[in-house]
Amino acid sequence: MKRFAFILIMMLATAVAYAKPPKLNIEQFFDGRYNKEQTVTTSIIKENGNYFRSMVIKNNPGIIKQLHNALTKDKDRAEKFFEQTGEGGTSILVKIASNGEMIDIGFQQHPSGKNASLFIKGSEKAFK
Amino acid sequence: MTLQEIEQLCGLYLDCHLSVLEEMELEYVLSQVDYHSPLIDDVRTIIGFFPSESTCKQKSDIIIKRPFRKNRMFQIGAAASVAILLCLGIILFGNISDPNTTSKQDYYIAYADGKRLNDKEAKILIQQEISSADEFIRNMGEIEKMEMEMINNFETLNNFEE
Repeated sequence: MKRFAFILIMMLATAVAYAKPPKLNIEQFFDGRYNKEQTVTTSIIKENGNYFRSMVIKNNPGIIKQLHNALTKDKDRAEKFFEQTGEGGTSILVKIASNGEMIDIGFQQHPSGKNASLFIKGSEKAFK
Repeated sequence: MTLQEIEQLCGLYLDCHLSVLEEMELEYVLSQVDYHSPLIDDVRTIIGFFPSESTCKQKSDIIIKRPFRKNRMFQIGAAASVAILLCLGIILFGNISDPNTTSKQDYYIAYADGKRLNDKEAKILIQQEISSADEFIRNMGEIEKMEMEMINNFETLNNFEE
């Protein structure tokens, strides 16, 4: 019985792991952890089957670094990755395909490294 | 399989040392072979291959020998498996950790300076953010296009020089 149950659970877990696209690393920052953070403005919207999440960070290089690291990890899944660094700072656009839909992630960092903004945009289906 | 092997399996069956799958396999084997011995016939009777009045008494005797514990363990195991599968399903598909995704309805949520904005303020802020995001995507597209053109021009120039 134990063996049977174990095999059943392992089969299910394997099937789920293959079927479900992994969540984006960058999404974890929208779980409410910065709701009370004075230096962060967070907005989340679900409307007409579309998701949009954005974050504006002012004078908090620590959070910006964490966001950048998460985005770097998500880069491995990107269909398209475009980064531009210049006088205006760093701009990154990542396009990730998920469930047949496209997710756009944009990241802009001020040259000082203290201010930045981030957004995640895509259809609801892409995030399921 | 030989008679001895089947008898050995029947002995294990009566001692409740076989798994559910192994018991099913034994039932299949007994339905296919024509061996007979008191032990094999006992097991056949328990399984229900030839219930008869003469064997009913033996059957009931033997069933009493089977410990109740095994059925109980099976039920507990099955219940635990169902519970684990349910939990896995909820965790993996339900997104219970994210309260924002539990609602089927549209929503606007925004926090600024450590405080939650009301719906009207949130809607205005988010619409501005969406416009900025669209503009960002458009600008990045244009920059990328320009850079691709530059790369193509360089390649053309290199080919020309060669």
